[in-house]
Amino acid sequence: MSSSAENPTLTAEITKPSTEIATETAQSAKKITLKTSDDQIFEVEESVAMEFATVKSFFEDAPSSTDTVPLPNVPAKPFSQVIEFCKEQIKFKANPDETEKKRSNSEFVKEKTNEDLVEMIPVANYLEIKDLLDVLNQAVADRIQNRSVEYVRSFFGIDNDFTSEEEALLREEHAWAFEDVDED
Amino acid sequence: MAASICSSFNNDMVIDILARLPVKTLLRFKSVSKPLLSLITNPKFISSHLHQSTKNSSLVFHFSHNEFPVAMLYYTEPTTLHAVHIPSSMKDYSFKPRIHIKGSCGGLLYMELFFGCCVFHYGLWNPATRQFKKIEEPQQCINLLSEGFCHSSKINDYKLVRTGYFLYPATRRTRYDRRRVDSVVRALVFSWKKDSWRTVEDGALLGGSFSDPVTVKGDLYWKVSGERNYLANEELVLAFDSSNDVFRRIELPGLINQSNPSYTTTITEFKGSLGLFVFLEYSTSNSGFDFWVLNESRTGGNIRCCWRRLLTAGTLSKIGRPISAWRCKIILKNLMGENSFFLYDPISREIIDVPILSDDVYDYVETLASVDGTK
Repeated sequence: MSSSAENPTLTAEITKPSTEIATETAQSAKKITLKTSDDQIFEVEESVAMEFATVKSFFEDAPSSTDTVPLPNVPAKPFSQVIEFCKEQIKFKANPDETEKKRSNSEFVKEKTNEDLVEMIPVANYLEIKDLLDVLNQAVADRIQNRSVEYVRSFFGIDNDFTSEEEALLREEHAWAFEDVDED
Repeated sequence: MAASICSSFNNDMVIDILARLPVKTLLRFKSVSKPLLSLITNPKFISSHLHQSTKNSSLVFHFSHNEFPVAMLYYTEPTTLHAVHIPSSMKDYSFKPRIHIKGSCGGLLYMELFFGCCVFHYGLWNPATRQFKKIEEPQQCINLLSEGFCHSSKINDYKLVRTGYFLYPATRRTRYDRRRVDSVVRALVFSWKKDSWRTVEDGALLGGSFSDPVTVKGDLYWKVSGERNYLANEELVLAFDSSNDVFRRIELPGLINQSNPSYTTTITEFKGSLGLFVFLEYSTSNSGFDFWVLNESRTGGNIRCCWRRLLTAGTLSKIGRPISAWRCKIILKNLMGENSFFLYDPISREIIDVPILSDDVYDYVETLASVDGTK
């Protein structure tokens, strides 16, 4: 990467006869090293790593860098699941099929536990992966939609700061909204 | 909203998730915690929730019979009707009101309620929060030409517009005398935020026969067939800009006015633009319809309008009159059955029957917005 940046004209001439194939193999071979907050090293294909807007802009600022990219706030467990998602996404970039993409996305979240989703959302947010964040947030919304107040408190780790009088008053105001709620 | 709502996520993530939830769920989640309560009642959140909820619009119907006067049809299951709860505040007389929906915009319904033969009033209804509020009638009496209800997200206000000829008292004794009708058309505009009416004078206002209004991106549009004083027999569109209370006229595509007068036109909202169906009104064989879309571009204070024919639907397997566009489908009124509708997909040419008998149909989205804008 560093040599081609120094002399782009020359590189272009040399690779001319088989441009597309040559650059593709060169790109897919290229790996980027990422280090998670719990000191795990991930070697990720460049095309996958470029799905992470945060990592992409890191390389835009320093295109010739071969350093390991530190990812503070990103633990290894959710990160490996994020990589799994992005690998799938890349397939649809080359071959757009909205129905198949939707099916694949819903398959992806279906297998995940609530804990998985809660751990992945901050990672997707930090790495700025818009599509994944959209899929995860919708999945959480779908899971809590018919749930009780208590379920939501434990889902998000929220403490109840109402007095029992205050809470009773709020519940009374919208009593009908507490009907037909799924069992916890 | 500086306080952190939960330990797992920052507030922006929580907002993004909550904005995807139905109103009923959010009303329940008000009692989760104080920070969540303040978020759910925050006007900014209410706006972003409404914006998100337009992706899941449904249709609302109202019926003449009393059992289930109002029903919803959700886009995700277009064959099942859901009855809508009628708030008790609507029934402030001992007998059930007859409900007439006159407009639906930004999650609120503008409606007329009849109690018995001559007692009636107007109101705003939020079916999602089950709130209803009466609208006080304006002081000024008006010989009504048109009426419309719209929501401007730009200024976050709901507006009710009435155009017509003002009526003035002939003597001090009589309140109003029909003989003293004004000769110019004026408008009365009700603001939800201010909970009051104001008079608007505008050179673009005109008399004639008005279609039902259509709302596009918060603005109102009527199709008008001009009367004697104004553009005799010519059809045009009158638009109302809901953010600054200014009216404007828009010409229809040139060839329609010149061509065979047996053509009928209907306006509709279509993906953020004004759409126009052109079809033969009295044809017994079903000859389909043309569909035009208006492109309005603003440069400075001027608005340039340009019509484009988007689609020509040939013979359909069913005879229907196009009523409006709903997402990528066209709603047609079945001319063979009584008051029933069907959906037509112009791409797949598929026809879906909507198994209902209804007088009117409106696009509807859920909102947390209060029926009282002054709060």
